[in-house]
Parts: sequence; C-alpha cells; structure tokens
Amino acid sequence: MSRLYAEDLQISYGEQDIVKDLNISIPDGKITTIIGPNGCGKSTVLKTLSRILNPKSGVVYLDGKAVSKESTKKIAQKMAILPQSPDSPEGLTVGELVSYGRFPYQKGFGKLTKKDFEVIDWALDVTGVREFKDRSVDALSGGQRQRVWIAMALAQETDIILLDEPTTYLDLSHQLEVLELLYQLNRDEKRTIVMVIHDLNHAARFAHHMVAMKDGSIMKEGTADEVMTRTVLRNVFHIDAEIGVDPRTRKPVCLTYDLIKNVKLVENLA
Amino acid sequence: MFKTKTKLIKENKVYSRPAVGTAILLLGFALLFLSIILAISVGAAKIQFLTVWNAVINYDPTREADRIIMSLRLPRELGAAIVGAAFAVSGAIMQGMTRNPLADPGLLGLNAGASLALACVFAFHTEANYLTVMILSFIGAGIGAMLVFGLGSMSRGGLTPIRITLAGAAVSALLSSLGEGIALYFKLSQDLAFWTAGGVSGTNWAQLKIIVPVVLVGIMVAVMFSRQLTILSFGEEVARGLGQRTLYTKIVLMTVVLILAGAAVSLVGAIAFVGLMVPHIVRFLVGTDYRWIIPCSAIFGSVLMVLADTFARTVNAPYETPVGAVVAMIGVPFFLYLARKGGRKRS
Repeated sequence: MSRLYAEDLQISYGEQDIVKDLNISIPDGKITTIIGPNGCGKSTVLKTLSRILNPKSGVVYLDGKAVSKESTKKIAQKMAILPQSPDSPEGLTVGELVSYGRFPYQKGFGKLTKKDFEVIDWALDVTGVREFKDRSVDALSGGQRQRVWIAMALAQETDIILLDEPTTYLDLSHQLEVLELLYQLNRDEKRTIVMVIHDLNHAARFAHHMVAMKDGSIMKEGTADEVMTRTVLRNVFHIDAEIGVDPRTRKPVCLTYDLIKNVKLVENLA
Repeated sequence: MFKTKTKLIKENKVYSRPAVGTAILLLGFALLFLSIILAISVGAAKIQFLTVWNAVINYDPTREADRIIMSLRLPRELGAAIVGAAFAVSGAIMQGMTRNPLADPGLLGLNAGASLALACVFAFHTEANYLTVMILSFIGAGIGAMLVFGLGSMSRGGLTPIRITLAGAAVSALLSSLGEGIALYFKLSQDLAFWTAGGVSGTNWAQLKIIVPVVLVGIMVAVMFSRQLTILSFGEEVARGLGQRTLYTKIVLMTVVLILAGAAVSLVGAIAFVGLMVPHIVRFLVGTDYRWIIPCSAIFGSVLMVLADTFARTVNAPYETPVGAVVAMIGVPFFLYLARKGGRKRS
C-alpha cells in the first residue's frame, strides 16, 4: 500500500458535489501528474489529499493514519503542499519566506536552529534562488517567485510534495525549469511528487504515473503511454488528438488536436 | 569547511531582521519616553522637564506642579499611549488576518459597534462603572465584527478583502447611525460627543488600572501569535499546508482584536486611522514579518497618539481640539495615498 491514499472521497463546495466516490493511491517515490478539464475536480482532490480541504465523507490516509485525526504539524513534516499561485506578501525577503518552511518543526517563539539554517540554505541552493535571498519576494519575476515558493515547500523537508499547477503563468523556459527541478528532486532524493498540470505534454513527459480526471471521477490512470491515448483524450477533453512519440524523450506527445463537435448531443443521448 | 561555516552564520542574519527590528524598537521606546515628557511639560501651565521627572520619582502633593502632573497630565498621556498601542496592534492584526492593507478596526465595524454599546450604556445604564463600560464595549465591538464577517462571507465566493471592506463600511454606517439615533432620542448627544471628542482628557488612575493590564495582556498574546499571523498572511491554504491550526489561530487573534479595540474605544471613543496608519509606517521600517510589526506597531501607535493628543490640546488652547480630528487630518491623506498605491499595484 502506498503511504498516501484516499478512500471513497465525496467532496463538495456548499451544495455542489465536486467529487464522487473517488479512490486514489499515490505511488511512493514517483512523479504523479493529474490532468483533466477545468472544473473536473483535480485541484479539489489535491487539496483534499493535502488536508487543506475536508471531504464531506471518505478518508485520506498518510502512513496508515487518517490525516484528519493526526496533528496537522506532524503531517506538515511529511507532506508539503504548494497551492496554486499563492499571493506573495509584500516586503518579505526570499530568505524570510523560505525560513517559514521550517514552521512545522518549530516550537514556542520559533528561533531557528543550526539545522534549520542548513536546510533553508540547501532549499535556496537547490532551487537556484540563493542570489535573491535578501531581495523582496514581490520584486521577483513569476518564474523566480515560483521557485521561491517551491524552496519554502522544500524547506519543510517532506518526502511527499503536492503542487497545484506549479507552471501556470510561467513562460516556456521557466515552466521547464520548474519541472526539471521537481524531476531532479524525485530522481536524486526519491521524493514523491504529485502535481496538477494543464499542459498534457509536460504531464506525460515527467510522469511515472498519470491520472486523468473528468466530472469528479478518475477516467483513467497508469503510465503516460496508457493515459495519453486518443480514446482517453477524446473522453476526457472532447478532443480529437493526434498522438506521436517525442523524438527526444520517447514519451507520448499530443501533436495536434481538434475539437469534437456534437459532443453535447452524444452526452445527452447517454 | 570552516570557511563555509562562517559564511553560513553570517548569511543567517537576514532571515529575519533582528538588528533593524531591535534598533527600531529601542528608538521607538526612546521616542515614546521623550514624547510623554514633552506632552506633560507643555500645556496651560508650563512645566520644566526636570520637574516632570521629579514629580514622577519623588511625588510631593504640596507642590501644585506635582499635583497637575500626577493627577491630570501623566494619566492622560499614559491613556493616550495605551490607546494608541491598542488601536495600532489591532489594526496590524486585522491587516494580516484579512490580507487587506486597508483593514482597520474603524473600517471593519468594531469601533462603530463599541460606540453603539457606549451609547446604550449612557442611555440605559447611567450608573455603570468603568469596568462595565469596557466590557460592554468589547461586546459591541464583537457584534460589529460578527456582522461584518457574517455579511462578508454570506455571499458566494466567501470572504475577499474587498467584500470585508464593503461590509465594514455598511455595518459601520448602520451601527453609528443607530448609536446617534439612541443618543438623539435620549438627549445624550452632548454626553457622547463629549466622550468621543474629549479623547483621553479626564483619564484617571482608576481607569488606567483596568485598561493597562487588559491592553498589555492583549499585546503580549499578539506578540506570541505574531509568527502565526505572518503565516496566516500568506493565505489560508499555505498556512494549513504548513501545519497551522488556522481556525484556532484566527479565533485567538480575533479575540485579541476585539479586546484591544473594545478597550481603546471604551476610553476614548472611536478614533479611526491609528490602526490603519501605524502598521504601514512600521512595515516600511521593519518589513512584513509580524514578529516585528506587532511590537513596533504598539510602540509607534503610542507615540502617534501621545503627540496627536498633545497637538490637539495645545493648538487652540485653552480649547481642546478633538484628538480624533487631529488623527483624521493626518489619516485621510494617508488613506488616499494607500488606496492609490494599492490600486496601481494591482493594475
């Protein structure tokens, strides 16, 4: 059994049910990407897995224990979550923000120990933001800022890292930079990474395990080759996709696609 | 190895800003001390600096100057200082919690709620002692806050900064007019106006004995929770991800805000803008980490109120200018500046 999994999740915002009867298991030491159309509930699932959102029913388990029953600080030592484009507080320096990643380990007034400083420096180094340490976070570019937030999540020293659309609003090279960083963290340190991601080709390229969601349920999960198929994309996104093989990575890529007309009609018939 | 180690220690200093923060705090204390001495020595009867010092450490009731200092001016300035600290700290907490740079107990219905409670006390419970007045002020502030947060979170999409501000304006208007209505009906306008316009004049030791410990405890709790407040200011999701019990933290902080705002209003009435301005000035000096913003806000809030009160009582002597008006005179342009700055940043 994996360390992080959820059983029979029902999640709703107010009256509206977003996710119904969902079971998901996150493979340890792997990169999992979750794809799906807007409003399919993928961010909701990620938030529930990270106990930011409480499910209406169902249980999320981490290391065999329900996350709702365990101390939230203890969980924060095992699992970090980076929400979608968090607001950067004005005037806080990069070093200060990243140092708050040590919060789960601190007691009382939270004086930083030598160990804390070492971890913070490591997080700043590995994300390549050390040179901005004394700069204000809001003065950085979008890509730099995203790396700073990732550094804060890394400073939590968790085996599991969840990220909600970590590449949104970034340009092509910055997107790849962030994904490469996560890839290295997984390869070199065996960290479990789960991310919601919009770009299908990125999702396929970096995933060991891919989850395709639609209307609050999982339509298909498996390797990129199993999920990035014409049939799955047709069902999940209502697109007619041409799938090829990336000549460099040997992973499946969506070369081009068209919208499928009359989908509504088919759905109504069903 | 050795080299990297020293480098590490050197660089560690920037993670929070203890040097700047401590310097600003010490400077603030010195400023506060000087402004209180200045405030005591100016007025209808001019008193030498040295006499002030003497009166405090070696009180002699047979000297007129000593009597003026100990029974009139010192309690007044201490009152101003404690009220300024209370407003400023509650403003800082609200700005962090709501992540709204324009948050202020005055703009979020707290002050209006407390004033309404005050009007009710004057109308229905004329014999009330100061402790009762203060407790009723807390309750009033609490009702105001509950209305604002209730109204703000009722609509779809939840509690956004702009909703809180709008709800705050509406609730403040409602509660103030209710208060004024009661005052008019019971022919209390003058008493109430005297209370609010009078500011800290007439503060006595009996009041201070109640309000000082309350405010100090409130500020201490705020300082203890300041790190939590910084984390909360990153947003609810980040805070929960970091393992904060956000609901518990919010309840504690909100209670502190109610106590501080309620205590301050019970002494001087609703004075807007202190809670808005001071945290911004402090942020400019020490950054956005609430571990420094809270204590520095307390000190500089005190300084601002003491100076504003001194100005209010000397500018048109022997008449007292309402201290609220003096603060508003500085506050309104400051508010407009902030609103403009905030607007530009978003666009």
